[in-house]
Amino acid sequence: MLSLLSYPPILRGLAVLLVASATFPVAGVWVVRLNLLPYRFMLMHGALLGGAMGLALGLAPLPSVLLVNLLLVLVADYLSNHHRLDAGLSTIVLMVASLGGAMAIISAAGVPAQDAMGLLWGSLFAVSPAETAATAVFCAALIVYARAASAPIAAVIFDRDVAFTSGVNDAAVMRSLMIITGLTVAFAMRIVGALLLDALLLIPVLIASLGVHSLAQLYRRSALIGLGVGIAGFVIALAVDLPVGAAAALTGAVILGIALLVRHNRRRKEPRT
Amino acid sequence: MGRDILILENVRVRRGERIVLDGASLAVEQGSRLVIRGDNGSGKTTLLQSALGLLPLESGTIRLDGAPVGTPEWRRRRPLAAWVPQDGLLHRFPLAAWEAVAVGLAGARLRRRDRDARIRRALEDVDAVDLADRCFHRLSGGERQRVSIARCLAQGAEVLLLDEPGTALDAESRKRLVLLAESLSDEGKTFVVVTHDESLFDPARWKEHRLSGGRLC
Repeated sequence: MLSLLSYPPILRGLAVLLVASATFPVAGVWVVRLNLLPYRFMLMHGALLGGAMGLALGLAPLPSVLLVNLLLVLVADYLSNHHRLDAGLSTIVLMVASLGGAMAIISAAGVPAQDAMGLLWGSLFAVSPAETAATAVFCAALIVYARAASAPIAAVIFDRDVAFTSGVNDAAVMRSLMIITGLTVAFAMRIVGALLLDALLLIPVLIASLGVHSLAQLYRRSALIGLGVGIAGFVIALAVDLPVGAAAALTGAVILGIALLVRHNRRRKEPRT
Repeated sequence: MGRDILILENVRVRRGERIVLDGASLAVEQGSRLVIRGDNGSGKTTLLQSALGLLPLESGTIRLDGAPVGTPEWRRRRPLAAWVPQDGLLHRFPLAAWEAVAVGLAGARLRRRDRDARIRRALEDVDAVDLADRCFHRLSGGERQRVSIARCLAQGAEVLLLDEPGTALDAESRKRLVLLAESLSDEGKTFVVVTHDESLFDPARWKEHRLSGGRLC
């Protein structure tokens, strides 16, 4: 299996996966805690639309995915803040419109089925050197922002109203987190696909949150577990010839299931107070 | 006693179709301690949230340290008023007690060393240093109240607004909370507490108001 690493596309794919799987769970912490799950659904479908646009135009999908997700976040934020439209409703409208648009483009442009399915499960080994560099730069920027704004982010995670009363511009922090989440989903789509991105984004956070007592610990453990899931997914994918996204998602789901069972059993054994 | 640090004048606040506060007025002297009692649904939380600038006013004015709520001057002074929400309204996400205290400093630009010193001092002030590394949401109700008050102190708040602080506290924790609030008040902090509990905070030592029909009396 190690001989496969001599192929540049596979080595590049591994590099991208390692960097992303250790970094994206940081955004996953925000998604889980700040109830950005409706946004995540919208962004997953936005990624499909952006990917379909890229395929239809014969271009690399990443720029169009980034553009579509950025636009979706800004439109959802505008509708929510300026027209007081419920975030759940606005994201549903945008999600359905994105999916409809993606299907229409795939059909009208005659995108081959294999390429269209690649949007769903990712195409890690087709990542170009430019996309590798862009992913690395984005991951570095995400970590820098998470550290620089750690206090306001923690305050918003604790409670938005309390954050506001302590002098934090909670609306600006939320907008930043939504934009970063949108971009994270776009990059994750290229690696594991639109439907499996939770393997890198959410599952490490859900596993980590079962046994931590501080936010700092949650960030660290989520990143480590994300890295573990990414490596395991990569090895399994090469060993049994599966898409990396599918292997990582299955690995993460199994670990989460085991962790939940262990916690359930521990709680049953604890004396009732 | 000093000047009025928090003033509400004829405040009218609507929530959906319902007028919750209708001409509520209040002047809170610096260093004073005030308990506002009212039935459930009488608008106690709305009153605190309005005082903190969290809700838009239909009419009336609110001033914090002389600055009208919503003005740039008020934005600079906003951390002078800190809020301890009703226990149970906050989420259950993992957060260490010291991280909960650090939330009070999130709007300030401090060096890490200074920040850590302020967190430690605030925890010492409420006798909660030993709780620092424990998960905030796994603390008892009384411990959570002390850590939340430490957050307000770290923030540098002059006015502490407590929403139903007696909820889910046993008799010993209630007594400890009252003693802590009174001791901090003796040191110059202003306390405004809203509660439906008639037995919490002795009227002999706390100025008492009642919220009814959207007005304070």
